[in-house]
Amino acid sequence: MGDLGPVSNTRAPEILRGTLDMMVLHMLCGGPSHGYGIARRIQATSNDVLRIEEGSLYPALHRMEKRELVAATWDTTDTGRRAKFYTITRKGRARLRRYTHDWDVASAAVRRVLRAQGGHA
Amino acid sequence: MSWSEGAFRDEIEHHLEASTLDGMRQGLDEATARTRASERFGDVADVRRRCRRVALVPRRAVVVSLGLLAGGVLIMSLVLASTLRELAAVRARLDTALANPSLVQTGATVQAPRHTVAALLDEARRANRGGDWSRALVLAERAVRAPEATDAQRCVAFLSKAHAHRCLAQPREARAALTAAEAELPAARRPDLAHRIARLSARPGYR
Repeated sequence: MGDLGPVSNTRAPEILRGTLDMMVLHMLCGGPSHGYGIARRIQATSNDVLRIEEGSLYPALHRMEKRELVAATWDTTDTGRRAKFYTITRKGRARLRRYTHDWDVASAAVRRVLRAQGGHA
Repeated sequence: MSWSEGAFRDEIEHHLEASTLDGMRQGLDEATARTRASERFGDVADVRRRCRRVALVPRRAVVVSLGLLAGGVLIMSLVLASTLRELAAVRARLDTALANPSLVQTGATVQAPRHTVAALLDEARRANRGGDWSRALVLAERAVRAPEATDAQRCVAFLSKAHAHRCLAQPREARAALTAAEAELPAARRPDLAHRIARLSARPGYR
């Protein structure tokens, strides 16, 4: 099971932080969600391969809120609890497109490198 | 985005409660589920510190913009202050020169005396034409006393004085001024002034 704990660590490589932001923004494209919901959806969508270090999700969410990539509102959950719901903004969608493009370019480059190694790493 | 301790606490409590409920749905007892939820969440104090820093530290773009703005204002202030200082110094020199040309001795004002004497003579001429003879006398006297005045300028200044004295019904002073103007003639080398003195000498009020 992959653990994305270091993803939101400030000392982590930039590409990893960008990966967390990209996944969060992508999850919010499906509709507003609170932090716990985002973490669960990433975990479920990745078939439990990717597991966000849950606490680390919040600095990332707050940073994106400050950069106006997401907007936050307080609402009531299905269970009647008060929670902070995040929604992706237009600016956030534009950033997501850029992240996705960069990710495609980077992952394609990594694949080419691995193929050049003959698959015997 | 400002920092709110209460909002942060509410958000994290919701997260832990939801995670605990999930654990209980999977068959864990409440205490175990809560412990597991806390473990999965990590260090709340560390998360709080990082969220607070995000909220309180200004965005880099804002810091850069403010820095550039402050720099621009500082540079403009320095340029403006320097310009105002220069203007004040120039004005002070001009005031001094106009008030008392004889004091003009050194520095940048040395470059201006001919212009200053010429300006005094022009002003004296205008005063004579306007009937302000007392003022014409003062201005002409200043031109005469200006050490940088040329012989021709002194000659013209004496002629201005002569005219003003004549208009003030002071024939003796008018005559003296005309004589003084005549004395400047050899050095002035201005035939037009010689002709003018000769013409004035024949008029009543100078004799």
